[in-house]
Amino acid sequence: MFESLVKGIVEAGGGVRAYDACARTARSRIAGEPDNAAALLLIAYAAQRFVDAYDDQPLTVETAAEELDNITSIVTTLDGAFKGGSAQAKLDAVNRVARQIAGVRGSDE
Amino acid sequence: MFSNTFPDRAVISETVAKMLLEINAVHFRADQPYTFTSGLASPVYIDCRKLISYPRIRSALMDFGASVIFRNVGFEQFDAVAGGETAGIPFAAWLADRMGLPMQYVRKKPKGFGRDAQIEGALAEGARVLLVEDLTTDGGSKIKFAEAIARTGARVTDTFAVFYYDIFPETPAKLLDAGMRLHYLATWWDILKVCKDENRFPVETIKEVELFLNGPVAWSANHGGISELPRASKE
Repeated sequence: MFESLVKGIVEAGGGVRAYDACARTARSRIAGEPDNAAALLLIAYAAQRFVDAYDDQPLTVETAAEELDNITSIVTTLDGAFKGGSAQAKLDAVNRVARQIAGVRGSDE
Repeated sequence: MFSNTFPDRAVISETVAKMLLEINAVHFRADQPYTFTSGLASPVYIDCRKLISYPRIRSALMDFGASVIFRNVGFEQFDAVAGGETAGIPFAAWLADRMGLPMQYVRKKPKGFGRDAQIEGALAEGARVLLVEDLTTDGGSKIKFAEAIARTGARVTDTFAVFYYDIFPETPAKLLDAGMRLHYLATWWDILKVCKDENRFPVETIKEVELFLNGPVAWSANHGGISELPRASKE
């Protein structure tokens, strides 16, 4: 469902341009996947945050790996809930990812 | 206006390399490489934005820039100087002042609301524009900025950067295909020469840097980065 977005980042080199493409792809999918809109918007937001952070700043290989782990975790959480999960599971996943993107640590993290 | 002198090109390049080293804008780190926007792992990183904080250096740079452009292109070949967001904006402002030309800046993307402007400042249809950024790697961002300017009816004919990586040989031709001639003051090879001449870094560090400059993709593959450049990207 959403794994292709992370796969795209890896295949495109895991740099700023790869995340930029991911953000654009996620946004472009929203119109055609209204039921996944919240998840896709969060993925686009997470990918765009990477672009904004590192577009003109040094990015070490180590940090790039950490960032890839981070967005992979976001996509995995959303994918698990949106692939046949209940409405409550989807809402929980959206809230968990939103907290993760906002840098808020909850009791379940 | 600029100083109306035309220093020797080699002297310019060596001086600019020394300036960048003097203000610690050059970073070599082979053990913990950097990741370029394409995913290429690199032991080198340069922060040309630091230049804006050194008035004597930036003033000399702009004199050098004006002399290179006037010498290479001519004195009456431009109607405007445009800076690319973000780092290109201050250099474009100073260069426009040196060259006695109007200035604009170009956003990476339109704002998305309000006027949805991508270009700020007045730009006449048909204007011949010099596009300015702090550095050039593969030229990808310059092509996007030039496309935005072209949508206004103006035309980027030349682009100037303080620093050019010069590790992807096809970059100047790629820019030329997009209608722009590339001008710059110094490259990694100038930095490397000064470092060697003045023993600025440990021999092992210089060796790694040289390995990268001579074969960036192979070096990247051996240090956790991509092993193949994505299509339409060499940065």
